Amino acid sequence: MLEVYEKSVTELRNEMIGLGIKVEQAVDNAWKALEQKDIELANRIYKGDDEIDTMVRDCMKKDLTISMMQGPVAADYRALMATLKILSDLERIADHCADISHYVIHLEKTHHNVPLPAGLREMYGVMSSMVSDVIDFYKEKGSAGRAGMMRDKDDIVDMAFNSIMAEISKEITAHPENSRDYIAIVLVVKYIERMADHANNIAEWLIYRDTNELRI
Amino acid sequence: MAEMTKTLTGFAAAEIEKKQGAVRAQEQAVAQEAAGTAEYTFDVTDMDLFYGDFQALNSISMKIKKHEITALIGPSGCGKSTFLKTLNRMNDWVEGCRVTGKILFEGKDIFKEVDPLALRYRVGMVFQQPTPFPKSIYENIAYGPRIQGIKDKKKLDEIVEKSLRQAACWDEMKDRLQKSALGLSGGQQQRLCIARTLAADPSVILMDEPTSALDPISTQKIEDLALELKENYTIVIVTHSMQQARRISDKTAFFLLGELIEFNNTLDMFTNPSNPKTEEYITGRFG
Repeated sequence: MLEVYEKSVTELRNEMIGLGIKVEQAVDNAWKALEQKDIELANRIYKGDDEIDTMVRDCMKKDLTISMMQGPVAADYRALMATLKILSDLERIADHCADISHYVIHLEKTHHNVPLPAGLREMYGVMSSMVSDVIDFYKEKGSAGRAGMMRDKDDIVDMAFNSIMAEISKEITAHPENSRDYIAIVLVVKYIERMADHANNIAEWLIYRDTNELRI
Repeated sequence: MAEMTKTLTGFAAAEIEKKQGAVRAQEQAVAQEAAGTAEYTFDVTDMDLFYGDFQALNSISMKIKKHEITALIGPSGCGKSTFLKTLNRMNDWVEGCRVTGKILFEGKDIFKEVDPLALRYRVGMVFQQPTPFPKSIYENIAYGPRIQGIKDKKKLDEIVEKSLRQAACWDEMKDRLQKSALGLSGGQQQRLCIARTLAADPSVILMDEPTSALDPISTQKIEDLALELKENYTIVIVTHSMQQARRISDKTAFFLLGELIEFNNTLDMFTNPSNPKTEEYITGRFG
């Protein structure tokens, strides 16, 4: 029975790593599409989200089946519960990549000439490094210490969010004729902030997996 | 950005310190409770047990709390049944068995201050195989009180009814009290044995794998019964079923090769065991 268990857990882990790579790619591509106004890439990200959803569903099914059939305890149980929660967060991160792509397409359709806010590139950079970090942490046990640093990175993203919002509201007052486009940009900035939150959630579930401590 | 991170880390450190303070307060509360405000049925200190030259239990110390279910788990031959039998001195009959160390039962040393017969009335036992006497259901229950000197028929009737009710047997058995106990199903026989134990007015019930010979429905009835009985009795149960330990016990003790490896709250034991050997055993990677 243990052999069956180990085998199915390894399968799940490999699928999770595959999913992690896809999500990381979506996060990288969403920035490229946004910065380079690449509609074709945005469309691809938008369509690729279905594939990610399918992978998430497959992993969830596997996880639930192992939990039900094997009745795991202790670290085994925590790993399966954490994986289930991490899957929800990965799925949300990928959704937001598709959301950003949606607005890339929208912004290009309106032939806008609103520049991306200053500091957005850096904010995106911190967020995407968080996503890469937690996907790395997932692969190895005992990464709880480093996972704890995600909270600080998340705070940096939140601060960037606030300062960019303040800038945008000034811009809207100065150029009310562009307010529709600015609203689209506000949403994009909000998505980026949420993606960092989800990455931080993943870190917290990894801490639970490795130490039994719930930080949520 | 570097400066920002520094301030944030400072903030996180303060938060961590605050959390650690809260954890320390909880630990203190637990320590205070252990220091004596709570009541323990058994207080075992540094107990060694030998079968001839063979040391079966090695320096066991363990406090068993009143009105709790304590589960003893571990692979075959780890000493858990031996430990259980020591609690009511049933090992006295095993030739060459020798115990050192101290076991207090309700504050009294069971080897010095308590008569073994009196001890076994107070510390009842239920075995793996149901062991009804080849007598009527009524006589099975009345036997103990009768040899304790109770002759009054009305009083015996009362004890029989009360014990059968407590063991959740009354409704099924009240109309067949004079029938042989051997005609009952295995699950019913086991509950009858629990009722028989209760008739002796114990404060502790020891159970040695009480459900390993029973089907799942009878098992569930015994488990429900144990949960009901812990309101009034202290229960110590040896089980090979980890699910059973998880379902019903408040504390779990893990034995391995005659040593008590870990004794912990059941929830903690099965979510985050503190000893790697416990983790290996309960996750099935060992034994």
